[in-house]
Amino acid sequence: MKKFFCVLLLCLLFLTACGSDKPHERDIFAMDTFINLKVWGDEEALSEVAAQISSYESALSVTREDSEVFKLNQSGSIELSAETAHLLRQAVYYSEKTEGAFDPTVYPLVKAWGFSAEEQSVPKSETLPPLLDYIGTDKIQINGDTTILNAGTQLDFGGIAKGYAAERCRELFEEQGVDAAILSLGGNVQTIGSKPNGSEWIIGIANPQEPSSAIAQLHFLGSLALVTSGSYQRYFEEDGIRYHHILDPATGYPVENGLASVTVLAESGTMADAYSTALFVMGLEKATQFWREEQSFEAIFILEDGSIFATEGAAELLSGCEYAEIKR
Amino acid sequence: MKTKYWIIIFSLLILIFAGLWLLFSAAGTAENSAQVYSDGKLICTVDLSVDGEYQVSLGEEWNMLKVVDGKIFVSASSCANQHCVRHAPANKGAPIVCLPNRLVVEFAEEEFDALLK
Repeated sequence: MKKFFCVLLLCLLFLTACGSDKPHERDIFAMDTFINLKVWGDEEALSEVAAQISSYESALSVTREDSEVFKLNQSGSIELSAETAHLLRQAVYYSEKTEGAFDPTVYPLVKAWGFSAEEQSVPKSETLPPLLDYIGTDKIQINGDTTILNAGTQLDFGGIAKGYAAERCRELFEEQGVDAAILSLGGNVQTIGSKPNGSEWIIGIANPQEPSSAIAQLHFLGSLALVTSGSYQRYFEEDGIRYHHILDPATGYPVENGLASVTVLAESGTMADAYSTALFVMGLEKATQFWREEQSFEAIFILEDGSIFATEGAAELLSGCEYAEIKR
Repeated sequence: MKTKYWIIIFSLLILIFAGLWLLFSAAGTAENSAQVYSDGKLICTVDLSVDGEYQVSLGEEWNMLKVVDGKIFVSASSCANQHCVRHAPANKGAPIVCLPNRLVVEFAEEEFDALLK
């Protein structure tokens, strides 16, 4: 009889354990996107991370009048908080690494196309060339805590802020001893640890032709930052022509090189975010060369014709599609 | 004889518990349904097996949701960018989101842990 009740108790414990695999979840609208947070274990960690994300929104928004970036863009010179100054230094670093393919000073171009507002339109041909004089990280001076922008130069952390936020939130989760969590910020995903049941993370990559569905999947264990930049993410049509939001800092026009999306996988969310934009601007050939030189990230390229190219390390995680592997 | 008796009782109990667990799990996820959130608040759970039309309003802004053939989509919206209207009809996977109107349609059945959009 005793044995029977012991076995029964074990069965009940097993069934209860099966039910505890469900994560705590929270949705937030911030940083110009929809953010979904999931954490297994300590629910309180969610509140702290959500507050952290809101603080980045307050500091880094280009449109909020009380943000540091807005104030810097308006005045041309302010003392940035330590964290915003740190992000700026990282943005300058990645801009130099990519020879300006990623550039945090593209905001004058973004405004000219209307991508920071609700209404977009093609700028007049004479509008863009003078704006190119304001583009480039050599127009930024960082003197101690004070940041000075050349006249006309304005910052936009849109190509790096979400990746940075994801990376900092990962650190925050890890400090709090969270075993597993996942942050999804639109095209940015950050996994932390491994799920309690030991199963792999499964991350879909949007089909550029039908972004609500996946064209491929990535399966892996552990912490990883994944960021996709795609021409389908934000665009408008004028006179039957589609214009997307990824602008070439060298020309001021949307990049047209046959790429539909670039997904970067890296340990650092900040790097993954900056490089996903940079590789898109570079195009497949130059981006492949950059990957061979850097060896600090992996990437998946989807072309407008639907063909997929994956670097060696990314190919190991990729499934559900046909692809060509890029060798070192 | 006594052992056999206990084996039968034990097997029956396991079956009952397993059945109850499956029942409660299914009830918890409410498959073939979608949860509609407006500004972070759950407005309703929509049964996707029944065709219908729903209006969700937030202040002066609004979204029209339609359920047709087991899938839900945004048929019209007051938002400027119309991204939500471009989202294909869905019954699972990544949520349908209207960022300007703070509307989210989430599904019980998730295909992935996250979708890189």
